[in-house]
Amino acid sequence: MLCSGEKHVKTAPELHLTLLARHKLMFSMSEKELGKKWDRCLADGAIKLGTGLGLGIVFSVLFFKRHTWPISFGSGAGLGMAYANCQNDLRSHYLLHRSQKEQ
Amino acid sequence: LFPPHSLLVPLLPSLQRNCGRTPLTNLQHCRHYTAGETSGGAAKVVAAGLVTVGGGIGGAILYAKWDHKFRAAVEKNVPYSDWLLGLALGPASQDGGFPVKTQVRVDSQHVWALMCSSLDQTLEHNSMWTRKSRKGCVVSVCACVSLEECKETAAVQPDTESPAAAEPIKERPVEEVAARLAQQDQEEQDIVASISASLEESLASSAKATLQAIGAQEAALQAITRHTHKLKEAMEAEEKSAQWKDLEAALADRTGAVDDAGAALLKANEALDSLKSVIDKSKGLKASAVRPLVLAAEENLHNMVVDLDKVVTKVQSAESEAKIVSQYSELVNEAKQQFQREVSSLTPEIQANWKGLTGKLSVDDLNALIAHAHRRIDQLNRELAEQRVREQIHIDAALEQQKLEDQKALEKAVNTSLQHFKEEARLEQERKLSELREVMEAEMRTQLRRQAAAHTDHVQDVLKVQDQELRAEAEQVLSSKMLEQETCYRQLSQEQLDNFTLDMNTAYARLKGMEEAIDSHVVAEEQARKAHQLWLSVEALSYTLKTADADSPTVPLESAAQVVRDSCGDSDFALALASALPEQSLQRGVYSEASLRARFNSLRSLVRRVALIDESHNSLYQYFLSYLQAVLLFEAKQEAPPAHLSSEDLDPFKLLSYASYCLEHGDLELAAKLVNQLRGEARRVVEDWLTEARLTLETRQVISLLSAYANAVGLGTTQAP
Repeated sequence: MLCSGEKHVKTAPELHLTLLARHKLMFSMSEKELGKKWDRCLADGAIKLGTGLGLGIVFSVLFFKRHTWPISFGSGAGLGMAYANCQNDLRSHYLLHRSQKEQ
Repeated sequence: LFPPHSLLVPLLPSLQRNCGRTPLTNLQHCRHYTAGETSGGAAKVVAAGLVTVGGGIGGAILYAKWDHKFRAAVEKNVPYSDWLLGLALGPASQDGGFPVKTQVRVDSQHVWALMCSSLDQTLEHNSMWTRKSRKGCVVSVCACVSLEECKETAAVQPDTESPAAAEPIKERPVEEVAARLAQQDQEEQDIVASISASLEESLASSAKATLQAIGAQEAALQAITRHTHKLKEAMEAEEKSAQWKDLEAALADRTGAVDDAGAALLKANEALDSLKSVIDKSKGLKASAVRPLVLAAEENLHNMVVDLDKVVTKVQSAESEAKIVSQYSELVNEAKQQFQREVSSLTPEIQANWKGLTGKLSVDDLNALIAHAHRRIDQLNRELAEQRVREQIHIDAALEQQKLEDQKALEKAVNTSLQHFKEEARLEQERKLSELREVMEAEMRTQLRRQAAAHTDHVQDVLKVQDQELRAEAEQVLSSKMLEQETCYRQLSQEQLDNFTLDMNTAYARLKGMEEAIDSHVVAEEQARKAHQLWLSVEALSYTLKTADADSPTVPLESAAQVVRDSCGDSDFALALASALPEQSLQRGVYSEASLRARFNSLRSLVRRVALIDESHNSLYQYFLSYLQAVLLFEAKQEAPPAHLSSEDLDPFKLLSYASYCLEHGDLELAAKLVNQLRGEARRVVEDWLTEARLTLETRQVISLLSAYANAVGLGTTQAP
């Protein structure tokens, strides 16, 4: 869909939109955003969890003598970060970013 | 008769009462009476009407019989009246028309004929009168008499004319008159020719005879003179036998000549008599043209007679002379013979011609001769004395005889000369008469001419007047007719012109109309074409909407929109509409309703899940809660949206059900409106769908507007302006 939109040559006066926005406009499906967001969330969560877990495991293995608390700490931190990220991501629309504010 | 008022008053109420009581019966009675009366009255009226009409027609017919002008007027004005009048009276006589002219012409002809015929009469009268009157005042008297005669004849003429006019004067046709005149001329000419021929013949014959006679007489005269001459010669000279023979011959000649002359004279007289008879006969025919011929013949006759008489007198004188001479010669001869006898008795040897014998005679003879001579002289003296004595007596007797003879001769001569003179006078008179006649005729002609001229003048005047009158009338009629015709013609021509102009105008108008119609048709067709094109393009545009698949949008509408923009021409509305198409639809195309529906269905669950999320409630926990709510809440799948949305209806789930209902029933607009009421995250989720729906709706609206416009324009162009 994006490709088909990109093929079309525009002759009409163009809106002052960024390429991304245009792309978005063209074939954007806002309902898929949430899914995408959840995907990201999950993916991020998974990564972070995994990473935290990994790190925790590593740290636990390395530094904290195979205590489980770094693993849980790491996974929790990872999960928390993921949660925060997800939430942030989900909220992002409603929050004004600094760049936008400065603009 | 009328009852007094006092009586009437009581009568009236009774009448009223009667009328009031029995109105029906009265009316019936009245009706009976009136009906009967009307029936009788109607018959009377009809009869009266018939009588009046019959009387009118009869009166008209009688009057028409009496007055022809009325008849003509009636025939002209009332149709079929000529048939009726013809039945009743017979055909209308034609002598009513133009009486004056025919009368004039007929009168003139009559007058002329009568004049011509009376000319002879007058001249005869004149001649008679002149014979009676003296020569000196003949002419004037003749003139007066002729004029009087003319007057008389003119006076006579009306009498002669009126009986002629009493007959229905029918104008003799010109040919008949000419024929008659020609016939008359011919007859006259024939007569004249015959007369002249006869006259000439007789003249010629008489002339010949006369000439012959004259010649014979001349010859006789000559013979006589010769004879006398010869006689004289013979007498005077000594006679010789040759001379006597000559004399005898001459005598014989003379006698023969005289006889011939006599015969010729007789013939001539016969011829002259015949000529005279012919002349008399020709005179008796009374043809005027013959007169000069007759006159000439008479003159010739007279001349011939005169000549003849002259010659005869000459001959007679010659004869008398000859007689005298012969007598004398006889005497001389006798004397000579006596002397001869005497001499011979004396001397027998003496010859007659003793004059020549003078040398031959002897003395005795001479003596004897002298003695004889003396004796003779004595005798002669004695005889002379005797003779002298008797001389007177003889002379007287001779004179008397001579006188008698002379008288006779004189008488005869006088008679003849008188006759001649008479004849001459008569001829002169005739000549004078003829001259006079000619003069008279000329005068008569001039008078007649004058009269004719006066008549013609009068006729001309009358004709002129009539001509003028008729001309004026005819001019009037002509002018009126011409005016009529002209006005008619003008009218007609004007009509024609008007009609033509009208036709031309109508044709022109029609042409113009047709041109306009054609132009307008062209224009309309152009417009229709354009509209058609527009419609086609709009149809194409609307068709492009259908190219949307389930998930993919339509083809970009740019080309179709471009076509529409091109085909909309100068319609601002269409142009505006065409340019009002949203950009995305142009560039990218729009989704179909079905895809949107499907998308919505998939959206719905999502929206249900994020129903609680908005700006303030957007943590994960909220998300969890909204998810929980979505799992636990059940709403109707589809619910008909109310007319007015209340605040309760703004619940997302309700809205979704409404929207779903609307979508199922094809009302994307309402669905979009309802979906537009979503707030928060739900709104964010459906944003794109809404945009798409908006796009689709917009496009569809524009296209429907365009289509409606194209339809309207197309309909408008197909309609008559």
